[in-house]
Amino acid sequence: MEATYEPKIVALVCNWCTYTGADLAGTSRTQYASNVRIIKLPCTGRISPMFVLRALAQGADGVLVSGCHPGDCHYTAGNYHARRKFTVLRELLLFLGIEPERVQFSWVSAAEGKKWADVVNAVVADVRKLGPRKAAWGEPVGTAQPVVLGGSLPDGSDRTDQSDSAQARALRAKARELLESGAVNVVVGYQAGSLPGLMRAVFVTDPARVDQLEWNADCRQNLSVYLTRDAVKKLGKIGLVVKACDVKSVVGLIQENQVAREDVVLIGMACRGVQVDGAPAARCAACDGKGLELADHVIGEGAPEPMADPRLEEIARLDAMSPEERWNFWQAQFAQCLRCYACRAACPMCACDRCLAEKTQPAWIPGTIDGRGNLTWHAARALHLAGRCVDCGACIAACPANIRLDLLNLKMAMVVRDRFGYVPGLDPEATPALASFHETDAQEFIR
Amino acid sequence: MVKRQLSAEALPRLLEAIRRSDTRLVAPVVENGLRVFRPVEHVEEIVLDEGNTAWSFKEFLFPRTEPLFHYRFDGPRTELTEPEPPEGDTVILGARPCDAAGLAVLDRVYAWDYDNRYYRERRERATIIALSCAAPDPACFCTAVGLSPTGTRGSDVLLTKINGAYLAEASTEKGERFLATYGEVFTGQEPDKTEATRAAEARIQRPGPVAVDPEAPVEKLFGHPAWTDAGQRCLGCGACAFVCPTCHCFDIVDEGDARGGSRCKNWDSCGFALFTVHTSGHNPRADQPSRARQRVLHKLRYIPERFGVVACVGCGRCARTCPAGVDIYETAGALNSPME
Repeated sequence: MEATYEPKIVALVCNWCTYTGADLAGTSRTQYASNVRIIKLPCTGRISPMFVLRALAQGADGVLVSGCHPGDCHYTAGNYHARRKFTVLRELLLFLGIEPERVQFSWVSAAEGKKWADVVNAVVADVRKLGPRKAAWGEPVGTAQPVVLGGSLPDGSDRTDQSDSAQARALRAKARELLESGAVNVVVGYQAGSLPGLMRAVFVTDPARVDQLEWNADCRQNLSVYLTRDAVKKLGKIGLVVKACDVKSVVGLIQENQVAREDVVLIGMACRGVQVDGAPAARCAACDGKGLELADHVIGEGAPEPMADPRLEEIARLDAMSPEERWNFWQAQFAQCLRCYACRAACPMCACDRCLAEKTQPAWIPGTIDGRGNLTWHAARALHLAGRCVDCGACIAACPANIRLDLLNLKMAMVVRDRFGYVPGLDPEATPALASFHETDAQEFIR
Repeated sequence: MVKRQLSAEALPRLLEAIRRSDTRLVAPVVENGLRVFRPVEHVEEIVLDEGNTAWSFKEFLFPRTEPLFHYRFDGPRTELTEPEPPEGDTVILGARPCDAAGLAVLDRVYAWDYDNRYYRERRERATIIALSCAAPDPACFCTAVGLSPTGTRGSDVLLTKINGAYLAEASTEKGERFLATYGEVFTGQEPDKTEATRAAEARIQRPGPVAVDPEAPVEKLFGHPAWTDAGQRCLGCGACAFVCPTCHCFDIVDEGDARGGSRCKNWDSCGFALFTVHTSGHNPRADQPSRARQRVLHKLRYIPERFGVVACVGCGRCARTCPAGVDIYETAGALNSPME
């Protein structure tokens, strides 16, 4: 059987360089493996990572993406932007458990017919060595056993006692002042929900009703999600109660022109960390309280002492697994997904009027609630959030299936930080990492 | 109604006997930190006595996704094939009475003007062995919708734990057959569940009633401020609908490529903006308050009107699950308070 295995490789190539290079290989009668199916696109900048996901979902054994060398792009910088996207895509696929040899990248110019032949031969040889994909897109290899990772919280991270009534009183006084002076029309803050341990948004428009505002360690939700909601926007100018992490997503919304800085008054709450089911939230351990200085008003004082992020242990454990084990870990996670899109709904950065998941022509993300649709959805969302997610925890707090979206998004944030030196949510003037590039961005993974 | 007793020691024997039979056993297990219904391979995995599961067992009768047919393009011809037959006989064990009562809604909706055979075939082959609830939590309000933690609606057999043993009540023919099939584990005594019912009902902290006046003019209900309150907060996800034992809406999409594919029936939710959008782009429920209204009135007004059964079973899951703290109990309460 092995002798007859012929890998199917989808090659996504740019029109100007690689396609012409492949043409040259042909006219020069250069022999190379016939396993590639070439799809010609105007530019690598046009090659959406969704194309690669689709090829894998439809059963390609490997994907080769190729375009003009840096500096040679016929649209000046399409390939530089593409290089950043592919860096993130490649790391995501590795983290999800796709072997690195299956998705490869190259720069092949119009003059490099020979290089094209060599690249194709090398990719085909790599994939041939791996053999057929061990599982279809969204299906486990064999039977996936759920793995519980469980990083341990650092000592002393249990600092979430925020029953500081003075801080809540100061918040109410500030809210009253802002509403009475007309500085804002509505204060969006937290109130006690209808169940124990559950806080939720309240929209206070009447200064006489600021007593509804509360503050405690259960204030998990990131209220900046309401900044882009029509039902809230129509209440007028918003005074928003924010934690340091929430400020970062407001910064992101400003960077992406979803919110104008002058249209929102930020009421920052000094915060020592929130809790989930009575235990400190893992994401809060490493918080240094940065971001709060961007708020218009700060209620309470003191920043937490940053500690080790317990999730880094979990990510290290995943990184140390074989691709197959990692793949199975994620398939077991995504198998629980109901596709309720609570992650998207709760995420301030998911501010699109119409999500990619709602588009049907073509339907890049299968709407079907199975492994295939779920994997595509979570991969696409992780890609869209790379360099944008500020780790506010809204998605995992919202997820009814406890899917470890935090690990996925944190991993992508680490990739963006390490590769591009960019951390989102700190500077409203900065250009987001995936909307910019540097000529010297590392490209050791590109042939 | 046939009543038997099952001793605590006999319960594992019953589970093992079901597992060994040709019947698929579906019961609550802990998976990935969540308690959910799953087909069980080892009876030791079953976790019965905790609170309710993260979502109801409805997915075993109305799956998240299921193919209606497969298609294949063959030149000018399109070849259609039947979907895989549904799973065989299934025992769903450990459902709470609230979730079991949800079947009264699904049964009526799916046999209303159109016989939904995909549901019916699974339903006919499913036996529901419910387990009375002894510990309602702060979100529970089954008594507010006329149900009980020890109620039998929707179940074939209801087990109620009384002094360490279980009372087994069969309220359907299917349930009686079940008691007969596994007759050797049951004894003939019949403990009384009055005290168990009283104790469980006393723990419910939300008395209700949760109901919408059937006489109130709908146009008046439409303008109620409760919708603005819930709708402003609502983020428009489908979590409430997907964890709900009675939500039954679905979407139909083709999943495939140039060669063929499957027409699939997938869960859908009236909370999604896309749910009602027309081809023209017009959306009759253009904002979140109108979608929040639809969810509540559908459960408490339209379905009761049409089928004579309240479409909320008071399991409290939507309130527990909602990332934005929207709570149908509270919204219904606001609806019943006098409007200014």
